[in-house]
Amino acid sequence: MPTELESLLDKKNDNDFVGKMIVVSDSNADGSFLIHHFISQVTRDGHLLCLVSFTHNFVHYNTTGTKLGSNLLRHQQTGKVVFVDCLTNLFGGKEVLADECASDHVAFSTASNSSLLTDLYHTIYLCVKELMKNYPALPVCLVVDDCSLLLSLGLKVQELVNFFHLCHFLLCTSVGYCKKSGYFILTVHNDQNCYDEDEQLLKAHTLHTCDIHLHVEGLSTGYSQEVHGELIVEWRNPEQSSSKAALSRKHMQFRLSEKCVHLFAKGMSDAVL
Amino acid sequence: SLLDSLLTGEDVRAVSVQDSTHSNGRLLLKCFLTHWVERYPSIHVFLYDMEEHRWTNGLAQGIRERMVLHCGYSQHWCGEKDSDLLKDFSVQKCVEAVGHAPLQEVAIIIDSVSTLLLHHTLSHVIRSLKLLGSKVASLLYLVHSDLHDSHVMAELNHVTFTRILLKSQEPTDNCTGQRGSCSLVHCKKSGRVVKKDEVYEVSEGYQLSGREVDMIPIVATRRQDPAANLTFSVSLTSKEKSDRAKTVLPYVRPQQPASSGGQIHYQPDQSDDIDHSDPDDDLDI
Repeated sequence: MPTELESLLDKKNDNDFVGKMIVVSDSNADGSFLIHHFISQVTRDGHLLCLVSFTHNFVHYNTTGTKLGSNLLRHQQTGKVVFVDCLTNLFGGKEVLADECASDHVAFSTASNSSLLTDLYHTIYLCVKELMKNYPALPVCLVVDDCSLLLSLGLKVQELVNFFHLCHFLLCTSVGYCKKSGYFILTVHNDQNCYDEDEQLLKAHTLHTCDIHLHVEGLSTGYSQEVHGELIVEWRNPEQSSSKAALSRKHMQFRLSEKCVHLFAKGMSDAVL
Repeated sequence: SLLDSLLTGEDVRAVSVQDSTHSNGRLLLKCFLTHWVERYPSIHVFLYDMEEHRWTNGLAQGIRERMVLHCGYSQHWCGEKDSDLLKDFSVQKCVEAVGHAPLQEVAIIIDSVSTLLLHHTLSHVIRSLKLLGSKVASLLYLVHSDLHDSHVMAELNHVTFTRILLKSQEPTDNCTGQRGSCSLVHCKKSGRVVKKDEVYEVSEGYQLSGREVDMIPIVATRRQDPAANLTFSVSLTSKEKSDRAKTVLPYVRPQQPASSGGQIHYQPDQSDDIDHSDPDDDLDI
């Protein structure tokens, strides 16, 4: 039975997102529940997952995934999930070895700031290659959580833009390694009340390329116990493949519970009705 | 409208379409392409933002056969060192790509200049656009205006003769097409600068039609009577009006004929302590 989020995204088949780039952004709210949902969905659909995280370790994703009904640890042991741990191993630690991929957490590190993203991309490429070597018929999903943190490390927007273009090319194009049998989920953070030019620029770059944009923001009226925020979903058609509307939009409000997210139309919370 | 005249190719030199995340300029690029294939013998599209098959998706087969597409995106990301139109972008490379077609009969479309600016300096891109625009019959390029700051946009505006700034974009009422609004600034060959705000509608097959904003008919709206459909009456009957006019308000005395001198009528209260003595009694006037 599809979850409320899958119904909102009009997901009818397991491969609906294959070949697409999905951007998850948040502003004055925490949009990480969407990432956990997508991770859970990827594993339930039986797809391969390469999870690159700058924000949490594997235990966090595994624990949250268990509540949502997926066992990340088991999928990792069967070689369907690779976790690239950038949080604990950034700027130091052991070097990446090719035979470590798909077997354990990949400790990512690099010697210098300027080659950080080059090394990261190389690591991702090797992980994706290894995943596809073990399961050639299955789609691969790359999740990068959270791209905008790299801006705080001193990286330039242009470097990040080149990085996600490379990832997009790798997974979502017919001439990339995955031959369009992959999909790419990227998170960016941009608080609207604190004007950060770099974050805004990075978000704009991602929106011009992506196919689906999910934006989470807090309520304009402040905190509420019953309504935790607003979720806006945009289907973008960057190539304008038809004269019909490129942008279609759904605007909902949501409430998070222990195991799922409840969606409802604006102002239609159970507490109000 | 000015958009319609640009679509026919009249007085078109260098045109920039400036979009943002709220309005996709690639739609207009495809509309221009659909119309320009009828006018120009040779149209070359230099693609830097996406793959070839993705960009041509939705175009009629006849349009695809009459355009030449150079995919700098695939060349660059595939690592083709010998022919990387993105990394080696220059006027010379573009002219070589065009081949033997006479440049005065060639129209060039670039998607997009924003990607070129990620890989080249602003001065190099501007010089190249200016030179390319002077060599070919018409040059059309897309710029994502929200990816650049104001001084970059100002520099780019300097080298265009026509700029189309997209404002809004939404589906049409029957959802078979799209419509939007834009601002146009067009420098004619005579030197006159025309500024217009226009609305456009794109129907199936990337057929675009424009209309000036001033020409939109203004439908006079009748002011609705707010008391028209109430279940109770808020107005007065004639009897109620006359009764209201006859009402004597408290503290209003009936008018008396004017007597000599002013008189002050004072009604003392119970607690008033009136002193009848003359306060000026001690004055020796």
